[in-house]
Amino acid sequence: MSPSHGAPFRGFRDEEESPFFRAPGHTPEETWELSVNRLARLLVSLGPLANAGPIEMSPELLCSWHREIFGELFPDRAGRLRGFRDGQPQHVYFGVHDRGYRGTTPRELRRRLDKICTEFNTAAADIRDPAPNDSYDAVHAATRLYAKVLRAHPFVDGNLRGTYVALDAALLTFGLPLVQFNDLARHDELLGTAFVGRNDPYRPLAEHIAEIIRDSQSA
Amino acid sequence: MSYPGTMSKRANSNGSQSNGSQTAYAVIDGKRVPLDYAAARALALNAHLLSLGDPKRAAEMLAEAERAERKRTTFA
Repeated sequence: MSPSHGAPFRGFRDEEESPFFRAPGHTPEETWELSVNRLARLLVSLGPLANAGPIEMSPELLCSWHREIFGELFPDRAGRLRGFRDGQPQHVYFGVHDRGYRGTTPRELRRRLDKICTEFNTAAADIRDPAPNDSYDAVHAATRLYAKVLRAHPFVDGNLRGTYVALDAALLTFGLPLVQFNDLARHDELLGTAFVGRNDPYRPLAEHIAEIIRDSQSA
Repeated sequence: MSYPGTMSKRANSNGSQSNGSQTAYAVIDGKRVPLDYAAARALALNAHLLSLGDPKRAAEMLAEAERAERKRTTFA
């Protein structure tokens, strides 16, 4: 029985201290289930989007995906970049692989996301160029986008789920398949390396994703 | 490193993209499957488990859910 590819399981819930733990009018389990369903619908819609033409990343697009997943559950927070509340910056703290981080300060957040998206769009245009390019370049560009947006942590919650859409959209725009991370600990370890490593820190995670794609067989 | 067959949408020699509609795929449990709702749900659940940031707790939740599902199926 594979919980990852079958009927929904009951009893999943977010961390209690998470801002998106429980939506008004729903139990924590319903909140989780509804956001899983919204994310699934959004992922299905990426196929037609990629078919329509190259996907240009932008902060607005990232926000729209976050809003698609969480808008009905948390309308006040979904799709909104962290900013200032009562004059105070909305900082966010998170942990990856036993290390703590603070997301990009709200004052710099918009500029940082613009830069990350522009870097991806430029790399994507080069990769799409008729000159020979191998698929690893595409995976590496998608991985950089994923890790950098996650490091910036643009939202008060739901950052990984929203940024996972960006990773998938980036892979799709290169004609690559979406990927599932069966080894959660490995994902976190490699993401941690991407956050703090030196000398192309994205390479280990990119190679892991490339391996998932390369080793996949048609069902 | 390249993966034959993965790039379903390639640039033509003049640089334009093929207009043909391409099937999107996902890798689920190591297998490449069309991106339908079931596959997308599996990916969405995976992303939610990753978002916990606690692989050990995620594994415990999965195991607990599997036990509950087995019990439900057995006594249904």
